[in-house]
Amino acid sequence: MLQYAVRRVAWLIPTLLAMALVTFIIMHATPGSPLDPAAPNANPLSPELQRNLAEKYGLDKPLYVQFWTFLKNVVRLDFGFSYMFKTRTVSEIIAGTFPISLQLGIMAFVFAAIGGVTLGTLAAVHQNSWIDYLCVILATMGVSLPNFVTGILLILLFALTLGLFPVSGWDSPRNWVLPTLTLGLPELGIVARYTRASVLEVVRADFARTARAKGVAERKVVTRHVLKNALIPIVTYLGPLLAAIGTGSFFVEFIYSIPGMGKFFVQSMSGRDYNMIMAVILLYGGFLGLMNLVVDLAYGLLDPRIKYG
Amino acid sequence: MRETLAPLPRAAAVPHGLTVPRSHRQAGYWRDALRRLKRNKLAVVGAVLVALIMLVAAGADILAPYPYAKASFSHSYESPSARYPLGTDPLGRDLLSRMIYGARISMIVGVGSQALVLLIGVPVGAFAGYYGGKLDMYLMRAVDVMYAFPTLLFVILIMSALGAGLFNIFLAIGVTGWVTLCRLTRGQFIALREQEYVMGARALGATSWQVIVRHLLPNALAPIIVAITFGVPRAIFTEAALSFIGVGINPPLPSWGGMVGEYQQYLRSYWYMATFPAVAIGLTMLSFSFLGDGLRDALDPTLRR
Amino acid sequence: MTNWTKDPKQVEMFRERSEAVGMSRRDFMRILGAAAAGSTVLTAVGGLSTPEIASAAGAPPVPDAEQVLRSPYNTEPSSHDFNKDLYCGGETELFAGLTRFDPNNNTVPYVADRWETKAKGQIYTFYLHKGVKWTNGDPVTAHDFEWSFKRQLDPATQAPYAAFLFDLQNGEAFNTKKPGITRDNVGVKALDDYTLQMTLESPRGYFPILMAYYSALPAHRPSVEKWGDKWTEAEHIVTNGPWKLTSWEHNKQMIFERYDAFMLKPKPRLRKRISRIIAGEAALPAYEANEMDRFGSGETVPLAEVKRLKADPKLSKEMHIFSLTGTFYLAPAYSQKPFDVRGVRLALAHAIDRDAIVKSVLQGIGQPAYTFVPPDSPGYLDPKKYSWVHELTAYNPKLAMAQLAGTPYEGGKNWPKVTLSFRSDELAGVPGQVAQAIQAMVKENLNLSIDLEGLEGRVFRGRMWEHKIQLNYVRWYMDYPDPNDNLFLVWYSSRTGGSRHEYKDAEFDKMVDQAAAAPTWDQRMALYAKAEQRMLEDGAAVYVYYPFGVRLYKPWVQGMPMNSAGLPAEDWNIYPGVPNVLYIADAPGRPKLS
Repeated sequence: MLQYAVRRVAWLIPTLLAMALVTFIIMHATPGSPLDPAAPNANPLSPELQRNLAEKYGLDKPLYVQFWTFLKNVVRLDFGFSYMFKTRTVSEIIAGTFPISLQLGIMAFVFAAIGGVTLGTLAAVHQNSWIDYLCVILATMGVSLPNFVTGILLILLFALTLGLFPVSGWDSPRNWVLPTLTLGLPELGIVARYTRASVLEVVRADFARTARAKGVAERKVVTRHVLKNALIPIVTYLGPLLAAIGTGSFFVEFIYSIPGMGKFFVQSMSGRDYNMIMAVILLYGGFLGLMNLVVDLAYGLLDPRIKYG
Repeated sequence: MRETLAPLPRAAAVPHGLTVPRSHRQAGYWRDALRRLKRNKLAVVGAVLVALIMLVAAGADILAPYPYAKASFSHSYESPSARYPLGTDPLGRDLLSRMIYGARISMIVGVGSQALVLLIGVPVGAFAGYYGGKLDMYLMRAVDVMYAFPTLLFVILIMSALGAGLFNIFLAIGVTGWVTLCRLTRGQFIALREQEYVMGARALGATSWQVIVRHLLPNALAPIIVAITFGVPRAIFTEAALSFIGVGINPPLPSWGGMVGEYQQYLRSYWYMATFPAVAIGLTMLSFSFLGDGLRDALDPTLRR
Repeated sequence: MTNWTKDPKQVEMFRERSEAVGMSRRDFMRILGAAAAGSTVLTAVGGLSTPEIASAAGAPPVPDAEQVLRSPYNTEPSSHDFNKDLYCGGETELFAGLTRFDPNNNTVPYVADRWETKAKGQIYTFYLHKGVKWTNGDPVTAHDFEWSFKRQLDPATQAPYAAFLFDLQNGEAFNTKKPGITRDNVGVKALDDYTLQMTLESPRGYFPILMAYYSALPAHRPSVEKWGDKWTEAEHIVTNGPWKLTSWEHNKQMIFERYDAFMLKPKPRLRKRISRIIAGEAALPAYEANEMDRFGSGETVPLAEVKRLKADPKLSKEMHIFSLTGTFYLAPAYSQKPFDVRGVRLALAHAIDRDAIVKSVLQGIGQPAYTFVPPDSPGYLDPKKYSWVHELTAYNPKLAMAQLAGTPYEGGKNWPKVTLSFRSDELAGVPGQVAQAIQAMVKENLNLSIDLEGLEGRVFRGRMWEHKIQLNYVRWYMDYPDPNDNLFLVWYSSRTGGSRHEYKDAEFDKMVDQAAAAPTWDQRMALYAKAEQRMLEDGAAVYVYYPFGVRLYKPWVQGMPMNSAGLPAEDWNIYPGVPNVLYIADAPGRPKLS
């Protein structure tokens, strides 16, 4: 298993390299220059000034030279400066914003995973009860509402009408509630639906019947025997769940004015901030790759039948 | 925004979309599947709704009371009324008509992008799976790279390269979405190619082409259909996200995603503008999910309880 | 001191000065009258400050400790280094320039108490106020300005907007690395610590106005030399304006505190400003939840919320609407069919119902435009006074169709494919909506079907400067209140480094040249008016509307400066001084902050 993990991590490196190359090519094929001012009301630079600045930043060199320079620097984790925030490096910006997005992501993930499994199990055990219906409703909303709409609805209800939580910012735990809900709730619905289906299957399985026949209490049957087996297929969804939460943070951070990294997803691309685009894609790609590995390993721990070849 | 809306797994399902194949007696198999599908009430509801949406999309020219771009400045920002059942937008355009035409555009985005996904993903997956060896290895390495991209970020990247526009949207979604289908097809082919009936066909002198088209593809079709069913609403969702960011389709073409993305800011002043298209997207999402769930159950009898 | 208005020489000197700052004859007479009546306004440190502190009617301010304002910042600034990058997005009020604008967009003394001109306005001498200090205690001297202007022009600095100082003699030559020209040849020199002399390429009447613009703000030399690009970080920055930057958590918030040793006027009444970085639309719920004292920055127009805001008894009172001092317009490409035909261009001008656009689409947040210079800027051409304006551009579908007579498109037939391009990524989609309205009107009135194409700002600008846009829907926000800003920067065709639009007319260029060099204000304005008329006669542009912006202030925020027209003078491109005069008064619901 260790060998498998090492091989997967090693494979990540050429994958990231290829991603970098693809991104680099598309980025440079995109019309528009990173040298133009980012301010919305700014007037554009004259072509002459563009040439001068391009020379300064090495953008006048052939593309393969630029890519080689990028590779040489990125080995030292140096993504260069940000074209949009010219006085700062990409690493500085990421160091300040990524931890916030990570925190939001982890909270939403834990909320969705634990809440979803709990709700799904309860729904399966009490089929056709109000909990079961709640599970269906949440899952339905989750798949059918974009989270920028969910976000606005939650602000209207909890912040402006009830005044329970603040609308914007990230300073206190009270700030964390609505964004976590917005990001996690739809995923919670889906996890709950998966769990419900999975638990229903296992509840009827032979080993559960045997346990019941032996006189084990129903609660124990569910917690000890059923849940452990039912969780296995749910783990397969955790990878996509992470991806959804990762990219979903853009919308949530925008709506709640959270100083996280999400805004750079779009800002870096519309700003043609070449260095930032590379960093954002590689960081998220690498992060998701690692997380998928963790999920796969967790899968093996839960289900001893899986062999890593 | 949701990246993946996979079909619900069953407890017995093997991860990574590998289903256990069988040789299907073609005609009988499809007839059985249809019968099983008809018995599933949710799936029937889903199928009827999907058919309805398709009909509205096709008949928009007859159904819509006004042309979708017809502006009437003296009637801008009107609430739902007898004349404008869903109200009007800032240019005084009839929102009902825009919803009806929006069905067409949204379906073009959904179905068009999935057609592209199908056209790239299935052949690549089929060749990799059938021939195996070096070809498979190289193709799968490329697929792995594509798979590692955070999908929405990649779509935005491509959209900024291509610019806004209907055609560009399904190009971007198609180019990023094919890898999942490719992996699925490949898995199916690997499992199927060692089956007795395939070996038999080969022994009888069938060419590779014949084997692929006549024997492998039809048997691999079921999970592909299911995946496509889930792909259509996902593409509509992605389009909504792109509209929110501002790289959606070009006006004055209406699409549901575009309407939600554009009008979500009006939610507090003019609730009806974003609400109806959001409901439409939700319904589409649900009907395709029901249909997809039903199709999977119907096409794969071993997975049924 | 005897009343200087009695001295003909003094009056003549003052007239010369006011002409130099572009003051209208009426304003000149008014100020002269006020001075004759014994007012000493102009000798006060910091100059004309009456309109800014005029709101005596407001409630009394709360104690100084509670003078805290929470206002949003639309985007994270890249720095506060205006001396290097005009569009850095930072806080202008950290710095004080030689002159500044008052709420009426007039140029008034600031760090410079006064200035003189020689050689018909080719040489300017600015006399700096003594005792003004940087926040680290260094005196603010003429050497600071000399160094800063040369830094901006130095090609090694790569300041993107250095062209702003090309009026300085050899400024352009130095910036573009002309052989034999060094920084010593640039026409700016500190004669002593408090006298700055600037020699221009030729007489330039508007020069003091340029000195009030934030491109002419200084930088602190020792800090720049020590910290390089990082000198405007909160822990390094040294400034000379009414505010200090005391904290800057990137992407989150900045805190500005009043610089107590600031000795020019107006001195801020607020003690502290907490500026959270919140993107435009997201700030409105935060404002309504009382997490902000103010909504709106930059050109935010919450069109989607206008109806609700206007209908709400509380919010409607908190709303300010103000001019953004800009113009949205259509520019057809002369080299592309069908706009190579003059009749088509003129027909376009008559086919667009500006009133409907402003009333329906913009819900009144704007004003119909027929000419380029907006009404709140000097040089505005009122259609009531200039009959040719409506003759050339008024909405009239019949006249529009009539313009096509004799062209290949007579009767609205034979149209080629036409694409209108606009920016899709600004103002929450408003340009796209107006473009759709234009599309519908042109179809209705000229039977011309146009395709719309929304482009990102960068792509849009690139194509615009390459003249690749067939029908361009674009805006111009004024940089400084002078028609030169519109007519020269936008339409002048013989510029080095390319032109914004395809329009090319030697006669027009000549008029703009003459206007810039004209000796008196009236002569200049007359020439600019003639230039605008010439351009419209050829149908070079169709002006659509003058955009307005929206702000909301909580009832405890008081002291909003008003201009002479009785409108709030917001912090937009030209006049940035709002935070210097606002104050907090007591009102129900006010959170106690410190």
